[in-house]
Amino acid sequence: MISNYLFAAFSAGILISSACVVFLSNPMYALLALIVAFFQAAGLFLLFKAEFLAMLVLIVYIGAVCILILFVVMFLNVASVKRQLSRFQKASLFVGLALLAEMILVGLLWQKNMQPVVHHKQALFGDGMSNTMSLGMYLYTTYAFAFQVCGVILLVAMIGAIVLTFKKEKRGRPQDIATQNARTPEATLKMTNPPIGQGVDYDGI
Amino acid sequence: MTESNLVILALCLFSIGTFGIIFQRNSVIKVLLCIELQLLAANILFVGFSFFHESITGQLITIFTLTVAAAEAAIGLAILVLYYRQTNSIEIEDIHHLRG
Repeated sequence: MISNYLFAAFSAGILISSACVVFLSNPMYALLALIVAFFQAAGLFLLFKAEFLAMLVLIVYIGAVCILILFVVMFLNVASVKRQLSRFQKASLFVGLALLAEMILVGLLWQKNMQPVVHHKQALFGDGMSNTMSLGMYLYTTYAFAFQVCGVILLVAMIGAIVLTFKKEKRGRPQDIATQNARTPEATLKMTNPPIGQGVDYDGI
Repeated sequence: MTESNLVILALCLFSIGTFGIIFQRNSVIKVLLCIELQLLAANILFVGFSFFHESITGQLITIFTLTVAAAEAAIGLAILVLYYRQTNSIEIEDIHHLRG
């Protein structure tokens, strides 16, 4: 009963703050509106009995992704310029409205009691198992490969971000100790015994 | 809190994100924020379906899409920072180097 009101409140909050994300011209304000939208979504996840995912959204989406975007917004000089419509935006408005009409059609024709594809029912609501435990029951056994691939994805993203933006500083003329230690006398010295009165044939050593 | 209400909410959120991407002239960062809105709509759909169909699969998929969204946001921002270093502006109207 109260979950209906809470669902309505969180839905309204998400839609209003996402409209603010789109319509605010200052990117910092838009990012703060996005953070508010993520908070409402976390509350919505709590209503759906997914408390681990709600906390995960708070930690990962708000605490990592939005903070990252915040750093980049503060690093770049973004100016909030008023916008004008360009010649492409009439066509893309038509495409966007067609997409919206199709989606509203799907929403209105939605059939209840559709069967899911993969049915892991027993772990979800039963026996006082927390959301964390029921997720863990399947994440590390059935979907262990996908879990490892997620780790690899994160590693690749981290390496990629560092490789893309790493600037090597030029610091004068540093020493390369390995090259210095690998120098042999044959590369630097040539011993000759010239007769008295004759010079050494200097061939550029 | 019915299933069709959830579907309408998620689809409205997705279309708000789509319109945000379409009607964006100022900065590329707002485009990235609207992409995050679309991903949020998909995640809401997954978690809601896992609740209404009593299956944990939706929440597992949400974990994976959360991971991929974080990775993609990081890479997108790295590319944005690189582009800013080159051209010193991130207005979408200035990105026309591939135009014929």
